[in-house]
Amino acid sequence: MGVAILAASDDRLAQLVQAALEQREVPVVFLEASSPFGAAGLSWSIDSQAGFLELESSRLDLDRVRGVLFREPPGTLVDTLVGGDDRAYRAWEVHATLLGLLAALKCPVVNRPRPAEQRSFLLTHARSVRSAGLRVTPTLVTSDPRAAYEFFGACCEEGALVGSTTKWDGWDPVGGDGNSRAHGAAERVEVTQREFAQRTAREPLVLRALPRGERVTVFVVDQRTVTGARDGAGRLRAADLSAPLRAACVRLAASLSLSLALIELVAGDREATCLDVTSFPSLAECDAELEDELAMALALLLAGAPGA
Amino acid sequence: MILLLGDAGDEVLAFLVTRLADAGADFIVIDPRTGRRGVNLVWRADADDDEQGWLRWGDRTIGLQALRSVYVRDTRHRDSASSREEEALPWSHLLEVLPCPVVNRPSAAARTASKPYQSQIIARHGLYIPRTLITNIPEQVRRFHERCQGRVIYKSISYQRSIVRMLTSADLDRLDSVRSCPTQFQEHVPGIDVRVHLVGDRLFATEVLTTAVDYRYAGRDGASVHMRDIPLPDDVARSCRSLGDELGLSVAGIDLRRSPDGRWYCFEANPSPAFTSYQAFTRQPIGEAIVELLRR
Repeated sequence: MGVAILAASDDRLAQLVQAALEQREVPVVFLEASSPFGAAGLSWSIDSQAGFLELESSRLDLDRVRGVLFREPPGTLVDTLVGGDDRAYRAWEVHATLLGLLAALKCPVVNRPRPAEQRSFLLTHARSVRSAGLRVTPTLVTSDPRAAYEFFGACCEEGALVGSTTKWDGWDPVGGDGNSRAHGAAERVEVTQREFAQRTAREPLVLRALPRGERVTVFVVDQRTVTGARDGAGRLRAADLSAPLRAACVRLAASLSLSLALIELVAGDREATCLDVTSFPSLAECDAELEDELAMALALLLAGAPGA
Repeated sequence: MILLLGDAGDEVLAFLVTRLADAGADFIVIDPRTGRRGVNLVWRADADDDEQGWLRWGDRTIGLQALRSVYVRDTRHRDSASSREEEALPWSHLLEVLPCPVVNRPSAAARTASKPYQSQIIARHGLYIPRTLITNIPEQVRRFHERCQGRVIYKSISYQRSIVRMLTSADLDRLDSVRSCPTQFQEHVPGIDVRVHLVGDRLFATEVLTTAVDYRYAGRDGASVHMRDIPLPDDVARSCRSLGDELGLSVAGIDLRRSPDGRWYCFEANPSPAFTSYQAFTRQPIGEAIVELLRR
């Protein structure tokens, strides 16, 4: 019985999980997530739920897969659609196959893809965030630059992050202390208004207020949390988080059916505000200790019982 | 206010616009891919209760709370590659959380985007699914073809290029082409096609008589099509309603086939059915039922 990893070949988290699994002598099949069936043959009977993956020198029966790590950023198909017809068609077919296949597997799938998954859960699952015991940061989606500026003036005393619903990972700071020092008040107003006008001319923007407090990044792996905070160089290093907040993060991930989640928080004195929830955490800013902790937690989840 | 999202030139949307106008309903049509030129969306996604925000176009403004219902005409089957997704995406987020009825929410519609995903849901609702193989291994196709006594169709796995074709001996000679992409093969089920339109609790069943493998493209194959209104057995009607419930679809076109041995097979549910051609044949008031649902 082995674990299947479907990820980009340069996906750091996938590489580390593979190493951690192999260290525990768990067989691993690593397939490129965007074209897994280029290297592997698939035979899957939907009505009997039987099938196998045929690899160069081996065959893996689907009912003997122990766990799957699936690492494809949500929304990838939106990018693919821009490409040529045949390439886009194959991408849709592969995606539709994986959606069905990974839904059918009885083993743990981290994360099981779901239809129409968004790059962030914040906009669509604000109620889940609140139910878990976290606040939702004031967030505006708009194509109106005046509305963006009014919101910014009313809710973003500590500054804000601006981005788009299509490029959820490209957040730029707006306002805040840095801007105050760099510009006079009138100039700051003009710069901000101009930026909103330019952005909304291209596409609707998303504006998220930055609350006061310490910003922490919480990775949830099933029932475990791994917390990081940025050091002076911007690297995420291991940090503490109170037990109630750790529990809130686990509740939130569970309510979204995510066995791997990244939750961005700003922790205040009494409560924490959620800036973002995603199903596709990157390790790009993590230090080695955080990376190893996360990879080990995932390897344990995928391999089953400790010592397996 | 009823919001219609989609291309105003689309036949289905045009039909609904006409009926809503006849009924004196207050409605607006927005194409989410080009709507930014005329419509401003302002949405506070952190509201404590229901969603706060408004749509503004021309000199009119309407609060999101004041929307009575939304109808989404998804024309992805025709035009997905040219979509302005950056325009459509904010809508897809908003449509998930609007408190009013949305026909249909994007996440519900997306459940039908993968046929094998959908088949697993269908099988839970008392409808048969044909023997189905998804593979990119030529030898597996040949074995499946033999097991099915040579009666096999193939079609896409997603909704892209979804045309049903019989697997012929000429196809068996070029099976190497499946190596580049998994393909869905199904045992051909003989019988009569029945399209069921689900609108809220109402069902409109249409029997489709044709010699074509895929009646939607009968003209292309030189085959004729005849349709007529039929009653559905109670158990099949219950299955269609419960399938719609699980998929989260309040309007759907459900493709069934009644086999000679009396089994009802289900191939798929379409979340944005082009019902107008069925209505033209049978006079079933499908569009009127949708208008009623939107005005409720």
